[in-house]
Amino acid sequence: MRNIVLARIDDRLIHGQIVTSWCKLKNADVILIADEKLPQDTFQQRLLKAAAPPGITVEIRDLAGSAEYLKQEDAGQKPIILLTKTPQMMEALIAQGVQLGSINLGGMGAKAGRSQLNKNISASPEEIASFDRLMQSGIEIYYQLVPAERSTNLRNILKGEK
Amino acid sequence: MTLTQALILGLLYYLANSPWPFGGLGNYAIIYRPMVLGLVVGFILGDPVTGTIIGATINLMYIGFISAGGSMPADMSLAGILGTALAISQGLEMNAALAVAVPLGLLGALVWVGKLTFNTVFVRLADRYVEEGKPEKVWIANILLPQMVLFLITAVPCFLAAYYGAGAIADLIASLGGNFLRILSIIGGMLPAVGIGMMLLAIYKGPARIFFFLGFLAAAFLGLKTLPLALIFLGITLLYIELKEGKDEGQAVEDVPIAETGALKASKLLEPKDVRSAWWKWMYYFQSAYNYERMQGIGFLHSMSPVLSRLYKDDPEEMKAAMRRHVEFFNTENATGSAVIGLAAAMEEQKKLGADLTDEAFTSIKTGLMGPLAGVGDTIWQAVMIPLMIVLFLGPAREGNIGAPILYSALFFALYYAYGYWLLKLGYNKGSEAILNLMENKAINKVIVGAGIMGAAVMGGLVSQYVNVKTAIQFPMGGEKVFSLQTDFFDALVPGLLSLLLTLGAYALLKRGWKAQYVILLVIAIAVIGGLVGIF
Repeated sequence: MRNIVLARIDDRLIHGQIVTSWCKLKNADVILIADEKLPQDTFQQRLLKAAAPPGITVEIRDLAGSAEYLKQEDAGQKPIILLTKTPQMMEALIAQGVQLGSINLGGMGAKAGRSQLNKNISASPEEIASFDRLMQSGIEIYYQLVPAERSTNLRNILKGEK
Repeated sequence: MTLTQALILGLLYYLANSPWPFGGLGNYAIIYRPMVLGLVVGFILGDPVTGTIIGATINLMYIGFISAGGSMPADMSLAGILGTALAISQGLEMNAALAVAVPLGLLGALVWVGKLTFNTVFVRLADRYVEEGKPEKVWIANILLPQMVLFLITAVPCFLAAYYGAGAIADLIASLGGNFLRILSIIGGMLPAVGIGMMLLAIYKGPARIFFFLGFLAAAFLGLKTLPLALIFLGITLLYIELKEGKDEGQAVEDVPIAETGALKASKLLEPKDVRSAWWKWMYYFQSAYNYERMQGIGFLHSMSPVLSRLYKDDPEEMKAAMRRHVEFFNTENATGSAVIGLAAAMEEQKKLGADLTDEAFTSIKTGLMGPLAGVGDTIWQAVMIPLMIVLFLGPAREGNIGAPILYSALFFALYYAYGYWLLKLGYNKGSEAILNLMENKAINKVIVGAGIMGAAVMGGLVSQYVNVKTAIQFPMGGEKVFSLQTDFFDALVPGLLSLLLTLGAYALLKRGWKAQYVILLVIAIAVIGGLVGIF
């Protein structure tokens, strides 16, 4: 099992918060983006690789490829940031045997089918169901945009909603 | 302080948070910064030199502050305005002014949250204009109403605090006596360590670490000031980059002819002034109605309005569809986002000419670009250029040179707008492939690495000059003689060693994930206890 220092759900993937704060705080060497569509989209791949900070490798893989990559042994224990756009992808990775203790919820933008949970998070009913399953399986999901902000447990955010 | 002066200070706080006079991120980098605000407040209160000195001192705390993706750790503009005003009108010494300003900055962050929450209301209004197909009305939802709200939540409280609060705080400090003032001053001398620690979080790694110590030693032993220090280390950095990374030649951005990008054809539907007008709107009002639901969505739609008006004025249905695709969630860095404005204008033009561009194509290119461009843009401007330029001018400003904040502002404005205009042209004329090529160019990384190294050296110099930790511990040596731990030991060994240790300590805590607020509180506690028992 490789060394995942941060597992984050953020549909903007690599952007200012990742580049200017998380990568530095976590000393990440690798950003792994797990997504079913991106591996076929060469434009987006080039863009995401170009956006990463100097010295950081970007891996873009589909579900099976990501799970396989994460489950490999790494003697060097290189710190990895795992990014997905949705909670379902995190669930699928766990189903494939990837171990995660906690998940950072970074940003899910408003769009059709999603309702707003808090300032920066909107989710569809399917996504909320996925959050629930993840939390029931004992995984802590916390909302935190950047390290300088306080983190909030997703349970409290969902409670506020109901 | 007169009523008029307090009113102008209220107005100034509004301006610092508004798009005027320098534009969205232009304002954020210029009159939102305490170094510049100090000068302006100084003019208002009749003492620009003292104002500049105090402003620069307060700015030390906020060198490393970055607001990325809609987060805001503290409001340095409120700290700058009220801290400077308090110092000038009540004769507070600069370190004490800094100690009072920092809590005000934390309080001011509430304004930011309030603004983003309240502005959500204007999303409904913008959506209504979209359904009416009226781009000419979007400014009401993007500028008029949000700015009125912003005026209420900024100008009014700042005026009240300046007019009634300054005297009250000064009375309180006076009634607490000289020992309290002495402790405030100890706190103010120590706090810049946290500000510099935050900056180190972004740049302290690899070779930059050595340069940080070299900068510190050069300032501590040779007494070099910031500007000569920066110039010397600029030379060393260039040499280092040349030797270290010179081998992998960064390829220049290729001029990809429009025909080869496939998507775009040369065309003449839009006047150059339409694209320029869209860009100015973007540079100024991209974040005027910033809100938690769509972020810069209303701003993007407003920016596109001159383009849409030109292309779709005779086609109400297509107008509505076009407005709908530009009012969606959008969030990126201001100047770098110019490329997306250029690209979106070009795509609309192509669509009107008959290109097969679906709503989905617009959404995917916009959302695909916004994150990566923000990553690069926030790094270039917020993490590198703004702190580096502030640091360069901070030294002279701290010595009362009122030209320093002015020169900083002019230089920033020119660079920022030249960069934005260049990207607008790139996006509009050459399309997405050219944006991609630019991002893949290694030259940008070289600049970032180089600026990080040079910045680290200058930060080291700042620690030596502006973090002020001195121990008051003395040992009687018999008779008249005393052994002062500070002057006889530390100053003889490495001047400023305690300041260096405090800064590295603050950095280590931040690095371990401590929130800046807690590190600030800890430093204050150390200063207070140490001051009371006689360590400092």
